[in-house]
Amino acid sequence: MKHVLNSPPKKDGMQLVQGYPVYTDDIAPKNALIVKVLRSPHAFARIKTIKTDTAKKIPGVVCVLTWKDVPRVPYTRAGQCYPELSAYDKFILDEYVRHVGDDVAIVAAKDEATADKALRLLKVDYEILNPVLDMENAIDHETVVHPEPELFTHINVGCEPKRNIACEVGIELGNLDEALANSDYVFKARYNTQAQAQAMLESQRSYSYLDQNGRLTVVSSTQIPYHTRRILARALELPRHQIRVMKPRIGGGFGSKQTAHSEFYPALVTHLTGKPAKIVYSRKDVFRGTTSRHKMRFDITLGMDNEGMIKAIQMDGLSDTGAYGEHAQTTFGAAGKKVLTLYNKVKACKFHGRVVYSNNVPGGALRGFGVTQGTFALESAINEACRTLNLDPIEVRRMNMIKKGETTPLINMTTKGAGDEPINMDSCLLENCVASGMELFDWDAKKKKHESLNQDSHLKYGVGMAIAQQGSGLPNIDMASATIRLNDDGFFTLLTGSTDIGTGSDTAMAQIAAELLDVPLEKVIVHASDTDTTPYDSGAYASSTTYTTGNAVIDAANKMVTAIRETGAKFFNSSPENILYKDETISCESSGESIDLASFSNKIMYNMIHTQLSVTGSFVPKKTAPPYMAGFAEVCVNTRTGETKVTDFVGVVDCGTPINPNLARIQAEGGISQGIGMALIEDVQVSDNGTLQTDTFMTYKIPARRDVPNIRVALAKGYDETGPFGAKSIGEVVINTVAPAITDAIENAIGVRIRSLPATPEKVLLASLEGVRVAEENIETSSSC
Amino acid sequence: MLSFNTYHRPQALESAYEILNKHKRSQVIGGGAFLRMGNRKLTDVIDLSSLNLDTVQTHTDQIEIGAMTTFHTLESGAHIPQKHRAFFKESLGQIVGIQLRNMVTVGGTVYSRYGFSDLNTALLAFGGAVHLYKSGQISIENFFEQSLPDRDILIKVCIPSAFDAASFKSARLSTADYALLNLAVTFTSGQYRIAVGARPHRAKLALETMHLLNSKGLSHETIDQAAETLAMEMPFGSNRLASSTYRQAVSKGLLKEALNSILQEVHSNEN
Amino acid sequence: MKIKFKLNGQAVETDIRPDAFLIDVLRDLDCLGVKKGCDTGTCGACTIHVDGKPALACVQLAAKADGQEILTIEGVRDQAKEIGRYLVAEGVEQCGYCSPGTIMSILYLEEQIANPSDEEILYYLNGNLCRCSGYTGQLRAIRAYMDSKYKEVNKNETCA
Repeated sequence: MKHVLNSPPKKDGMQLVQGYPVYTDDIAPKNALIVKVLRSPHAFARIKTIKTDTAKKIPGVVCVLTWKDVPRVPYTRAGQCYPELSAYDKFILDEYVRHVGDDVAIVAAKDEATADKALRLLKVDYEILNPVLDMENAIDHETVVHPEPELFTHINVGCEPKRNIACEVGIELGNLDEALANSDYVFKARYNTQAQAQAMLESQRSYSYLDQNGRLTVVSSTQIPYHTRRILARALELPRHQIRVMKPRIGGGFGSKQTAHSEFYPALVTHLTGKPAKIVYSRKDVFRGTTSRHKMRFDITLGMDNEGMIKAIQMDGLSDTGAYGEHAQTTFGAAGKKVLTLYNKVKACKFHGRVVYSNNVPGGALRGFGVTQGTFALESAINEACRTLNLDPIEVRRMNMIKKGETTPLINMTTKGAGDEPINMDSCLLENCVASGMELFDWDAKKKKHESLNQDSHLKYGVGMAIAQQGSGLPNIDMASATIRLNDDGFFTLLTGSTDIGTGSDTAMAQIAAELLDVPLEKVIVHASDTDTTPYDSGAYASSTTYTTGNAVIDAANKMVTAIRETGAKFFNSSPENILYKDETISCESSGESIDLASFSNKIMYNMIHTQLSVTGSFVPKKTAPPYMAGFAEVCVNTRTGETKVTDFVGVVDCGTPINPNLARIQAEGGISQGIGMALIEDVQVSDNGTLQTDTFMTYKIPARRDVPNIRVALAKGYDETGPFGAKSIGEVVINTVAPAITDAIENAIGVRIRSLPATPEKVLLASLEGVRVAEENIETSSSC
Repeated sequence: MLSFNTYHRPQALESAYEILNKHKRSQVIGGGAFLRMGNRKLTDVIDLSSLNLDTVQTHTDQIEIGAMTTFHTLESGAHIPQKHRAFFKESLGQIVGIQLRNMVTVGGTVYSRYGFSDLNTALLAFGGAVHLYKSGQISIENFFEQSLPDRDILIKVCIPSAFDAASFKSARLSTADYALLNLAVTFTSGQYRIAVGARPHRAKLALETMHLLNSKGLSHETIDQAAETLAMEMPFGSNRLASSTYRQAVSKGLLKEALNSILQEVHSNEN
Repeated sequence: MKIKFKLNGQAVETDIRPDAFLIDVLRDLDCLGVKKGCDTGTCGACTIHVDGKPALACVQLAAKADGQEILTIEGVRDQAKEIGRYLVAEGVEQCGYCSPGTIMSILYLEEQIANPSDEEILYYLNGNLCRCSGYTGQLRAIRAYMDSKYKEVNKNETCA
């Protein structure tokens, strides 16, 4: 292959390293009004009055908007295909504020200082209400987060807002009680994962203006241009054809930008004033005004026999979606669907739970999207059960995990439009991942080494492992399309609606196109993420770009080659069967004539036939093509302080064919680093009254360079026949094994089990000193600092 | 959000002092890096950059560190005596990054008496004095214990120029985070000084523990005793980072680490 | 108030609010490679050189820049390209937001330590956060850059 499986540099790479101005705030009009949002200091309150007169009088203040000035149309901000599975529970501005950071008023002024001054001069009289903050007490709490009658859902997801229930999810297979009764050993434990912030380096920002046709144009740091257009149209009560959404280079997302956030404010200001407007979220705005990973709790029950066969798995869960329900149902569902299907040999399994509304900052999409939380719980439970039964965790995985060619009816049950025919995981290389990971990690040798290292030392080493999967796009939901045009001089334009959020997907798509179009990579120029010009793509989420968009690109490229041959036939007065297209040359086999692509394209555009070849391909996944991963962690725990250092981490990923192996590898290394953050460091901390204690990078820490080891990644030699050139996905699966592997390694090192993330030095040390195996979930801390 | 009306960069200390006392909502800034995190509405800000307060001078018995000396200078400056430089690197090297340490000043940190400060713990372990423009010389421990002189300007900090051994230890959630607890020990002419900070309150001397070691000397037995004494004498509190229970427990561990390190250093010096 | 300083070698005079931060002033002066990632001086995306030492534009008062020499990524284009080539070859500049700041830190590191060890690289760059890459790949790239640079130097020395 000339392009696929090679690692050409990203097309935008050199511009990015030199700091070229290609991000949203770099290209915004210099005369744009600066838009700022007043955010609620209270977790739950009703706005009695807002006095805006003083603010409006400041020279340079162009408009001040309160809930009385905006359309009252409920919508969901969730970036999902329509009809969404999220409740329509958000207004642009409302009389109620439902979390600390919820939007209260919008100000637009000629510069930032004036906008800040205007914000300070808004006088809001709140009726402070009693917030519901503990998800365990949210159902049927006397405080109802969403009392408004306008809230509705398109699809019945079990949404009962009067009881603070956002949705209910249930999946079951077989007879759980019977399977548990027939188990030699039943293990039960509760696991908690924390709210984790996406913490991409570039905050949300967007700008808007009216173009020469008076259409509202929005440029945003977004993962979901098409969904944003649809959502804005509804929220602003504008026809969709009057709105254009574009994404320039963006500084990461990790799911944070899979929810529409900043776009509403400048768009509304431009719509009302006709003037360009811009908003740039501060880091505090991001923490208070966007989303973080849903906090989840799982009660796991495992039924096993003494040899290690898992007979039954029960996952009983609770998730906190906070004040708004974007992605509530989808993340929670994923926590069951993409976790239970790893263990296809059980006699029975059951997933059930609810997602609750609360007055916390909302949950949202974050890499892994529920699978991370569910994987932590189940893999931890299996690791713990192995300890009690004195079984090797790797051997137990081998016995129970899904293998190449295998299936389970659960896959049919959890895949939209799947039907009843068994769906075999033909490309599953999980077994190889475990085997080669174990070897690369040197599992046995490390364990032996630790035995002597740990003697007479206050530093204790340990190892742990876990397995995980994710999905590649969303079968029968996600759609991607791609248009390819042949330009004069023999180069191609690839138009794709997909959103490169920094991953290099634009480059990977170009590689796929160039492979089939048989041209050098620089002759495929990519233009993406513009709802006016690029064809529909659901966006960068659900690990869909390589798999779904990649297949759409293949469809388009194949159509282009056909079009070239058909036009070549006309050109040579022959028929398509005689025409060969290869190496940028069109040749007629019967006559022996040939022409190079550049000359051909010039001729057909300028001299004869007079056409520009343009084709569109599309793709919707039909089958589920999960990527798999095995993760192995080695930690060193300082028994004097409780500090844990990850000294080695090996991840082996089956992502099918890696279109660009370098980029795939970096995805894995980056995801593992985020997983280390989730395991040991990161925690969105909230005080008793719902205010965030961690709302800057000074207080919320993500792993720094010296917090991660030399991360070692290997890619299994995978291939999925439904994927583009055999590719599946890699974007999300890479975070899932990290926390359960690390917490098992910690127990291996010092005999302390962390069931509630993150595994802070405090939890580890205090449990160790008290001689307690399972560390306490809630440590008594005051909210003073 | 920070806002103020006038920025001053006075050419003389007396002017700086005058402005500070004339405007009640004014503030002296060192690097100014922490200014942004407050929510204060100030009228005036006084930058001491033009007063040549960024020098470090080594004399026979003490090192004079000018108030505008940055953390990065302390950990890497060629003119800083090598032993001190190494100790400062140990104490300050986990504060966010070199860029921030290049902006944060000794004066800014010491005058503010931040509880979370690593530098304050290290300086208290050294001992020495703080020099204020009008209030004159105050010992470091008194400066941290007593109520703050009103609207004065910190000019320099003086610490001993010689010590036999020193160790700084801290427990942290990550390598760029605030300390959950920090601790510094210096050993000079047979005397130990032990300071504990980020309790979460500001650095404080562990007098009883110091007395124990100063009378009984350093050995594996006294290390264990010292750890117990420290945990008993030092007041700890809770905040979002850690509980008092943890701080008390980890104080023992950190002291043991520091004292073991000193024991090693002293032995290698002797050999 | 007016401030005068040197920006990427050029004398600059500009009017600022007294409480303006340097990052906004620099970005208004078209130094758009200085990125806003936080506003607490904790992510390193706004790393610049002030009088030859690394500093964070988001927490430096613009007024302090009066009389200083400021260097941004725009002023080191050739070096940025050279180092950047290695980052790009490794696939490790992903969203790119941390790259200019990281490169400014690498340039300072090079001035302080010739052919730094891995540990020294990590120490000098710990204030530059990256959420995309996991750091390991960045170290590979920086190592390759340093190795090639210092192999050349050694080669020249032996040939001399």
